[in-house]
Amino acid sequence: MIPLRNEAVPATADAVVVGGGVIGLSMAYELARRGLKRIVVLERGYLGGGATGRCGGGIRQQWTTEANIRMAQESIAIFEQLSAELGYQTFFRQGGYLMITEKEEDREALRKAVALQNRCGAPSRFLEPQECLDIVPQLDIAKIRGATFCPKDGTAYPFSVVWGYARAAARRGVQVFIQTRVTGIETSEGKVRGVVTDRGPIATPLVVLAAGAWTKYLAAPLGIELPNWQERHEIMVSESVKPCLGPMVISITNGIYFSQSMRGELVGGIGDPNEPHWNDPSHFNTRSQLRFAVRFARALTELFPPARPLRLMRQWAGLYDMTPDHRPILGGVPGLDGYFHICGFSGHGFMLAPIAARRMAKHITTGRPDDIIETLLLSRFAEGRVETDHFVVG
Amino acid sequence: MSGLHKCLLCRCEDVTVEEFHAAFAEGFTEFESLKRYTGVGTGFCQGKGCLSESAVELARLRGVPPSEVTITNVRQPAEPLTFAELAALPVPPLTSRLAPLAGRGGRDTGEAQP
Repeated sequence: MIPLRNEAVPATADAVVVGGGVIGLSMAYELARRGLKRIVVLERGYLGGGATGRCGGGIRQQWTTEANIRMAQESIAIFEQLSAELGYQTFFRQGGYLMITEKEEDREALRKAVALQNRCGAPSRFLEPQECLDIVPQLDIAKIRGATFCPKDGTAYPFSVVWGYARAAARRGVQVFIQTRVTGIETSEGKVRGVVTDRGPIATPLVVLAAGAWTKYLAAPLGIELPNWQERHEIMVSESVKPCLGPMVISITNGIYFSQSMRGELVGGIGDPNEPHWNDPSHFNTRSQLRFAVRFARALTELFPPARPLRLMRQWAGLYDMTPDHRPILGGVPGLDGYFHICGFSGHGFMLAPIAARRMAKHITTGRPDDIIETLLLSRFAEGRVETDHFVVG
Repeated sequence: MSGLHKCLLCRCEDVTVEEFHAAFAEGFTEFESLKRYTGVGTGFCQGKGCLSESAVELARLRGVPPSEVTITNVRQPAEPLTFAELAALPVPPLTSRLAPLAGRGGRDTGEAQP
């Protein structure tokens, strides 16, 4: 039972988490696990209705920066036992990630990435085009120039993860409100005082903004300028077929990615360099386009020809909350006690949520700095401590 | 109800009325979550044969008229198409409809209605 509320909010809380996606719910769960009482989660639509429920569910540790690799490894360690921990089936499956390139000049970058990943303990390896057939025999390797594979990467069903966190959080006393919109955050004398919603105000000394694409616009009235922009990314699901595809296949050349869900559907998307960067929530639009369906179908049938007779069942879109270095923004800001944000995951929030939330909860409840959060503070942009990860795909 | 009685709400995904009620009792009280939890409307017909029936059932569970139930977003394509058919089409440009939409434009951004 997930006691989702849509009645009046409580007048006071010890902490309010804004956002009922995987970030907000894992955040609330981890805060509760650390002993915080009277936690409220506010979601303006339905749980996972933002980017979480629109994502491909991929979880990988093949990155090009040590911080991202380490975070992903810690996240995968949590995903490996998350169903048991939450008492809820997350459909986590480690079929691996096969990352391919069509460019000769990427081979060196892939080898370098593998070397760094191996130094961090990730069991990835470089593959020649022919060796890709050992992983996915149906691939057309004519254009492939090289690949990397990590067998410990995988996928989970985003909604199950969201519901699992919601249920486990609720068991620890967290109150989850859906269809509740936050209209403002109240501060005075350098401290958070409360959150105003369309169901009434909540006095609280602690607020965590975990609202994905909308986080920037909740923080802005407080004078906090997040450098984030938002992009629309489309995705689709096919009809179900028997299990035929082990890993997530992903191209760093054209940005296609696809995997097979536990229901048998192919789930996949493809990045579109022509998509505008948004800086205004009134411009957000998650309508679907034929353009995506055609571009995806062309890339898919070229790389994975057996998909030709399969039918595309439905397509949809979600919003990436992008940052200049494609890495999340975590922590608080100087001069405003009780304020924290956890945003800017640049399309990889689902896979990083468990560890980002766990580290943030420890940081918030102990007040001690965290070695990873220190590298992901908002202040890094002003201070020039920026290390871009190049493996942003989709 | 006898043990052999089974009332299907969604034939494609084999979702019974009983399962729909159970999901509601678990806290999935709006349509978008009910669709994703039970699978109703996600099969080959994409909801053409079950969304209205499900909306009526949800209205009954909530004790409100069906007109007060917001149904789930209907996704493209209207009929499933093969990847071969889609791949044979020319790539259209990004549509200008990506400009801000008045009114209904916000509905697909997670703003389920009460």
